[in-house]
Amino acid sequence: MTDASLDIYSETYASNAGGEVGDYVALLKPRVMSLVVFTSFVGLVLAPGSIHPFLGFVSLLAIAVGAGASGALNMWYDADIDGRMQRTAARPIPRGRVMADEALALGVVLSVFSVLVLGLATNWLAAFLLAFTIFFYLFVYTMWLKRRTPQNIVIGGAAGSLPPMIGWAAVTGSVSVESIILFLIIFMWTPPHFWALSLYRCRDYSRVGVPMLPVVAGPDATRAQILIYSLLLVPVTLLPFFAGFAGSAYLAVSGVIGAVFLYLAFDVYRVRDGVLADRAAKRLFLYSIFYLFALYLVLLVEALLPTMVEVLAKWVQVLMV
Amino acid sequence: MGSGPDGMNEEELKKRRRRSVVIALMLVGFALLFYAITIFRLGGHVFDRPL
Repeated sequence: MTDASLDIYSETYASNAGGEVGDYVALLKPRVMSLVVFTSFVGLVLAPGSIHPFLGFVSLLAIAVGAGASGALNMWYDADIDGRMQRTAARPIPRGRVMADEALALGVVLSVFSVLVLGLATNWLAAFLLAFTIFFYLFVYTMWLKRRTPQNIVIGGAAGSLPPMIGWAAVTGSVSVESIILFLIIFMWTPPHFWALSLYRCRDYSRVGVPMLPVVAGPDATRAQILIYSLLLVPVTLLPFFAGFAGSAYLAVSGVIGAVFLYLAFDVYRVRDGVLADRAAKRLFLYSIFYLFALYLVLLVEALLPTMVEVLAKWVQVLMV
Repeated sequence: MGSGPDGMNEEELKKRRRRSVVIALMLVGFALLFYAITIFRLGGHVFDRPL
């Protein structure tokens, strides 16, 4: 950001009298929220037992709001660096649309409400896990690790990995091997996903002094780490089948899309210079989003298929009569 | 600085009003949500009491 644009920023900021409703919604990071809702929904559906559909809906709402609250708290704390990074400069606080204190208030209020609602609607273990997610994202990742160590997203990734476990706990009131596997898939996916992004956003991070791996260890070491984590990730994605809560369709799909992930990670490792290197990193980053979504989608479809077939069969029976 | 209440101009007052409406709606929604959660959590047990 240039000095001139920084001047405009402070002028807008000084005269700010509160933003539009949309600016406050943007504080909640709606795109991140949608992935959180989806993965927690899968956890909720896969969990043994049942939950009233309305209470299931309330659980997802509470998890989504809790995730949004941690997004607002993250934007409050990172307002100083967000305005100097291309990727985050358009966020409501750097643009002067919302004041940092408002983001803090919104984040705190929504955190309390979401945890309370989840506890009352389901159980206090699920509520504790949601509170822990918010705590971990704000205090451990944002405040402690992000500006101190290149391992920031490796450890901090735990916060983003918890939603399916919360969904599972909302139904069962417990944590089990299956929900830990759902956690591990996202946990192992996070490093290659973010390091691919940081490879082509390296200058952004270096300008604001965030020690992302390419800034501290260099692009080549990052490429090697991406490949290592990808090699570890793919076997982890096969665990649902071997733990007995996913079928052969999941095994086949996760095997194929995992092979593509490895191919793209190897491409990032191999192509190291110029535009082609950036393109390879971008391709892996975009594919990683599809990859995680597809894995969870197959788990979901496999779990819902018997019920869907049963309902369909009943309809056919009714129509025949 | 505008000439309206709190030194706000017309546009800023409109924005504040829109925010206030959304906060009011959220509070009403929250109250209804608590009510509905209570009813659904009670389920059939609501009738299971000495009359």
